[in-house]
Amino acid sequence: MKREDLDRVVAALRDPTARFVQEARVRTCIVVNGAGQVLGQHGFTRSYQLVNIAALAAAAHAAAGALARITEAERWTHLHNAGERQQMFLAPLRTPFEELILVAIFDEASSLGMVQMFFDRLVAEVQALPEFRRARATSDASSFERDLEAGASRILSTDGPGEG
Amino acid sequence: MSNELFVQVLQRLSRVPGVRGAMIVDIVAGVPVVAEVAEGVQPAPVAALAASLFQRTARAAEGVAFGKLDTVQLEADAGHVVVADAGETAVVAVAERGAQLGLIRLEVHRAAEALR
Amino acid sequence: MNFPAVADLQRWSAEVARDPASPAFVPLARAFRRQGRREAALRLCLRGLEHNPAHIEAHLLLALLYLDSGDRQRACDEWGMVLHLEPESFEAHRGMGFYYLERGELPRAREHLERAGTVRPGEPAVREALNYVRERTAGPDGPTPAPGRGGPPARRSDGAAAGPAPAAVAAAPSPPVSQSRSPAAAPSAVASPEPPPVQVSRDPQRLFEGLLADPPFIGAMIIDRQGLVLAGTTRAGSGIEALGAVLAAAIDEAERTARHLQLGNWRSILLEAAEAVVHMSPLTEDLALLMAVRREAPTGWVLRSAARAQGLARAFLGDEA
Repeated sequence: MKREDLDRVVAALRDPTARFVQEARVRTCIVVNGAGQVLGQHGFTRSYQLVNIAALAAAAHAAAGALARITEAERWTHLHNAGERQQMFLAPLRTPFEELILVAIFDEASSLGMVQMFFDRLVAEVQALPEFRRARATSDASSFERDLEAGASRILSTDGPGEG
Repeated sequence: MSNELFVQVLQRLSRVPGVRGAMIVDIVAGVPVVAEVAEGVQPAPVAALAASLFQRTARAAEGVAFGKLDTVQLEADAGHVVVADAGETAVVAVAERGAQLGLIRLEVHRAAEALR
Repeated sequence: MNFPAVADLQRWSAEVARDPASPAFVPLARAFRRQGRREAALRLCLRGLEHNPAHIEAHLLLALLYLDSGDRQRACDEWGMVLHLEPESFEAHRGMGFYYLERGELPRAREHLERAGTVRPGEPAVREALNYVRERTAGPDGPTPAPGRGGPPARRSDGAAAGPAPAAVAAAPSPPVSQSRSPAAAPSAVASPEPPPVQVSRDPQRLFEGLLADPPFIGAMIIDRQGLVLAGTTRAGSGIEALGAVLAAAIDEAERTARHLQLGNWRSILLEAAEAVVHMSPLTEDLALLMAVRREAPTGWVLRSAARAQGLARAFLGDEA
């Protein structure tokens, strides 16, 4: 993700994620990219080593993805770890630029059902963000140009098919 | 506890006139275990919110020494939600405004008792 | 509440142990109930009635025990038994009157309440319930009750326990305390019963004192969105702030539930717990009424009392409400 896109994503996600935290009553929520970098944090974050959580969450997400492929489940909608006092919910959050990971830690003030419900609403809200709709249009156009260029290069290359 | 019992209990409850959704909910996880719902009613959000309503209200009742919560009943402009304790689960009914609430309460309690 | 002397308890226990048919099972079961040992009271009553099937007091006590556990159907069965044995039993007619009131069967409710009212004309709960029912049944005299209709409904043959009887809210399209939170909203289609005119105290701590005369009443208060108490009365005379603060969380949660399920504004919440029933209803955009009564109070009575409390609260708030 380019730097300016990263800033745009972080800014766009801030309010919807804050609403998710409030409505779902989670204690802590962090948004992480596939490389394990923290892109956003909400709630009670001071007591945690966020960098470590982010790295491990990214690794867990990647491992789960591999498991899904091996077991032909294609992809998981979320991971859930339930402890005695706390639970963790981990789910992919798609943006036009890349797939991010949302990690939510909650206790008895919330529930898995509640977190799932408001996460689904967050996803819908994020999909509808004007910034992301514009970005999708741009990236579609950029991809098309790239593909077109690549195709043209292939056809006109001296090593291309049909060239003798 | 068998799934058959759950289904039996819900089918009876869902047949009460005015009931738009009947479900058995895992109170802790806030997810539906079994649900019988009419079109337009989504079991997952109902289960999550009903479980949260019950849990929070139960904590409040115990906080003022009123004892264990048995039932919470919410009446709103467009309908009713009745949640009754059934041990590890809860029975939830969502009904439209003007439904025969007395009968719904009776069936919710019967269902909860059958599940305990 | 006066508990029996230890010597009495011992004497009754000895009598029942010696002779299961001894009528001493009744005061002993009553004592167990007062001690909160409801299961023991229930077993004792049932066993005693096997030997004394015509014991009216025992049937009445059993009805109370069933009510305690929320089994209104079985309580009604017991009152029916009593009426077979004593057709003018006040307790049985009152119990069945409220039972049918909760179920919305107003003609039957009226019949029983009128008979209870004939036996004890001054009883306030019966009088109020009767006023409520008369307003809603045809004509000032209502349908003439058929003779011998005081018989019990058929006992359930499947042995399954029936749940508590439905709320009296089923009798009317909108319950007496139903109000939109918006002060500008139109009134509900069915007019709420007019609470009796009362002198409203301007002392916030004495606002609901008039309700203390009803034994099941625990307390009532006006609270704001933050759970702070504006006015209120409790039987205990204290603890009102804690009650308001803690129970306000239920209102918050109910509002949230109604909003996210797209049910509109909340109109009332009824909590039924082991020791108490709590009824909450909005008064204004920012204020709500909270009323707590003892668990054994019939639901119809709870709603009726909540309507009275609403009247007092609105009069206290004046133009604000």
